[in-house]
Parts: sequence; structure tokens; C-alpha cells
Amino acid sequence: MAIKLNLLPPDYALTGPIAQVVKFARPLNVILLALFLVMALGMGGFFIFSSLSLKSLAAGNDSLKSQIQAQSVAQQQIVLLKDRLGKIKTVQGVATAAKSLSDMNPLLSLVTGDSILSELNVDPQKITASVAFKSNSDLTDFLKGISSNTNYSSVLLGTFSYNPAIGYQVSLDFIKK
Amino acid sequence: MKIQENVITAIKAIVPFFIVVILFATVGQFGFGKIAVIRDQITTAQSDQKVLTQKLDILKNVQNAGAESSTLVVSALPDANPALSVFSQIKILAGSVGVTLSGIKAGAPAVDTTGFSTVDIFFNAIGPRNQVESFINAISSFAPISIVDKIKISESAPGAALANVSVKSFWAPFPTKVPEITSAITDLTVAEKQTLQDLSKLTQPVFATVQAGGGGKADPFSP
Repeated sequence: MAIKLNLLPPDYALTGPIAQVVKFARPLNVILLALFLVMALGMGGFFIFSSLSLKSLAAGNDSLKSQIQAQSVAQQQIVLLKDRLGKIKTVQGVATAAKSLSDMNPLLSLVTGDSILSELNVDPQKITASVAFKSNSDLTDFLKGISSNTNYSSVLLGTFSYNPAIGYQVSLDFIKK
Repeated sequence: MKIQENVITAIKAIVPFFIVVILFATVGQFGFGKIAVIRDQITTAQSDQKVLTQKLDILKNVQNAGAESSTLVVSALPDANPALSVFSQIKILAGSVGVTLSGIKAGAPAVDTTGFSTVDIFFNAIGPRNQVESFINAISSFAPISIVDKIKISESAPGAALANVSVKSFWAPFPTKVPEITSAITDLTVAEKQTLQDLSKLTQPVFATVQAGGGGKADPFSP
């Protein structure tokens, strides 16, 4: 059986709740101090490691920046290319009368022989045509061409006249789809 | 007396506890704050590095074909009124398709609804109707980019056409700002590359360089 020694005078012996607090506080202090030291060392280590990483990254970035600065002409070129290509795309989207004329080509190819294209007005929005046909068959072919053409939602007959010297004079408005 | 000794002993046990707690709080707050700042800096630096690496790769690619592409786009959409280039292109085109030109003139510069500066060029094209049509359709095949705005065709005899044509040409000022060195840039998209390819098919304007003559007098007033 272990002998319990107490060399302190009996007056110094702790008793009651204070004894409990002291008994609990002493090991807790040691544990907390150990934890604090571990935390402080960990933070210090992590800080040093992070600082070195940051320094390395900053050096790498500085090197990249100097390489990019050396490519300043290429940078200006890509800015210019992007700017121009965007604007060119917009310009290419502008409606053109040449497209309308191209769409009219199958019909204009029917105005042959003695027939005369008296006047053709083309703009991106509308087309008006005035054609003089010498013969009835030329007029019929042209009208057949109109009926088989799918570029227009409707074709309005403006005027229709006949003169023995000129033939059939027809003016038409073509409404695009 | 005993009570006083007990209290001192208890205080001696508890004070280190509070000191360690205060140290925890102070060092923890300071340390975690510093770590958070440095982590933020690392995140920013990593993000910058990614952007810069990508940017450098793009710039290296652009450098290979940049000069030629820049010439193409500037030729297609210049930064100044392209009326003279367009005159020249129209005349060359008319000659190549056998169409006679007359009354060629330029209107006053204006700002289009699309926000571009524009100039209208008017001319008469005379020739066989099919050739006049080919000529008008071919106007979109040269640089600077020009669109046919209005056409009026009339025939005096079967097949002999006179076309009054209005062509619109565009220009826009060059960008004046290059982005920050750390700002990202994107490579040309597939659509942009396709547009570049289309532009390469346009007939480029011909410029003659006048060479300085070497045979003149150094002093024009000398005998």
C-alpha cells in the first residue's frame, strides 16, 4: 500500500472547491501551453511556407509580365484584330441592294430578246421593275418565272399597258419575304 | 491566514490559464489574419499567373500571323475615309468586267445608323446588262468593304444597260487603349477566324509608292 506523504504544514493543505480548481487548472495549463506552442509553430511554419510560395509566384508573374511586355506589338495586333473583326461583322450584316439584285437574277434572265428592262430600282427594302415585252410569249414566260420564284412574299402589279409599237409595258413591285 | 494562502495558491494556478488563453486569442487573431492576407495574395497571384500564361500563349500565336491579319482587317475597314481606295477598286473592277464608268463621285462623310462613319460613292455603269449585274455583284469582293446601297438600271436597247449605283463604304477609328497587362484576352473565335479567312479572299487595293527622285537640284533656286 502506497504511503501518502505530505511535508507541508497542515495549514497549507488545500481543501474544498479551491483544491478542486487547482487540481484541474494545473494540467489544463500545461495542455493549453503545449497546444499554444504547437499552434504558434504551425502558424509560423505555414506563414513562412506561404511567403515563399508568394515570392515564387510573384517572381514567375514578373517574368511573365516582362515577356508579355516584349510582345506589345502582338498585344496591339490582337486588340486591333478583335476591334476590326467585330465591326466588320456588323458592317457585313448591313442589308445590301446587290443581294436583292442577285435574287432578281432568275427573273431578269427572262427579259431577253426584244424585251427591254425599262427601269429597275433596287434597294435593300424593295424592288420595282418596269419591263417592256414585245411578244405575248415573253410576257407569259416572265409571269411564269414570277409564279415559280420563292424569294418574294408578293408581287404587286402597278401598271399594265399595251402599245403596238412597244408591246406590253408592265410595272411590278416585288415585296421580299 | 490559511484562507489567504489558499487563495494565493489558487490564483497562481489560474493566472497562467488566463495568460495562455490571452496568448491564444492575441497570437491566433494576429496569425490567422496574416495567413488570410497571404492566402488572398497567393490566390490573386495564382489567378494572375493563369491569366498571364494564357495571354502569353495567345500573343505568341497572334505574333505568327498578326501582321498579315492586321493588314487584312485594316484594309477591309480602315480608320479614315476610304473613298479614294474605293474609286480605284471600282475602276479596276469595271475594267476587268468590261463595264464603262462615268460620273463617279463621293458624297459627304456621314455617320450611319450603325454608328460607323460612311461615305456614299455614286457612279454610272454602262455595258451589257449581264456584265453590269456581274460588276455590281462583284463590288462586295474588294476591300475596303463596301455595300451596294441603291441600284437603278435602265435599258435603252435590249441588253444595253445603264446603271446608276450608290455604294456605301465604311470606316471607324482604331482602338486607342490596350488593356491592362494582367487583364485577360481571348484568342480569336472560330467565327472571327472564318471572317479573317473571308477577308483574305477580298481583292486588296493597290497602292503605288512614289520614290523620292535623286536627280533634282539640292538648291532649287541655284542657277
